[in-house]
Amino acid sequence: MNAPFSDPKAIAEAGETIYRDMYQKDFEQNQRGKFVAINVKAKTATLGDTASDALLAAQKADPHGVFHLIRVGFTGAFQLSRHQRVSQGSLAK
Amino acid sequence: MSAKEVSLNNNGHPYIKIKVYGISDSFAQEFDALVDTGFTGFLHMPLTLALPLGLTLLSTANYSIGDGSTVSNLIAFGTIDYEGQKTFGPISLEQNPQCRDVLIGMEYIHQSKHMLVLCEAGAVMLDMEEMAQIAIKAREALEQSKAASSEKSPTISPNVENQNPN
Repeated sequence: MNAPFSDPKAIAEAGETIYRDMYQKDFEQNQRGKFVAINVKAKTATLGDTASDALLAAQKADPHGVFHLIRVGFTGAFQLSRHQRVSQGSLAK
Repeated sequence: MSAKEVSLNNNGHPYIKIKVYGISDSFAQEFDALVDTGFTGFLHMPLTLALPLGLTLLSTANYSIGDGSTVSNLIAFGTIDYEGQKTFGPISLEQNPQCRDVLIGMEYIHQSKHMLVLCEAGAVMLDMEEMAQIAIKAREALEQSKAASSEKSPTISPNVENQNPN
């Protein structure tokens, strides 16, 4: 695993802190529903309509950046309903 | 029209066969992926399955789970090859070793311009652009049919006085 990503929880917490302190108030008024990639090293934010848009633009701006993805106005960048999970072993052919 | 096969498991959940890879398709591996309409992302898979795929880690993201909890996952960019159609997007990597499933989410459905059709007999993935063209043609045919029938049929006046000679 790439060294900067050996502690994903720390990256996520750093990204959330940068977002909360520097961008949240403004973005939640004007950019609700958009995705934002927080560069946790440079403390910059890159917005996009989709997760791909935000991350690709952020990577283009800083190819060596380490990012944390947030969806403006949402608790998580993505929702996942685990109750639907089933074992692959039950796949009917 | 190109309809792609979708398998249903014993619980009726739709699965598709995909190949996933990172920096080169020489790393591609095939997976049975559950089409999970409750997942808003692109692709979700266990980190252990992703290691041989040549993915480049890029980001982290928090995920809101159905039980109200939140987890942090790694994100890498990669390509999904579904019956020859290649779609590039952010793949989330599940670190919980108990999670074994590969999930296709709504962002993949949107990005790849697919439409999932489920019915009692089974399921298929349809090309949304082809479906839109069919819908446009059907509407044009309907409008032409209406125009033709209104040319042939005289207009019936709803005025009762005109229908009553007395």
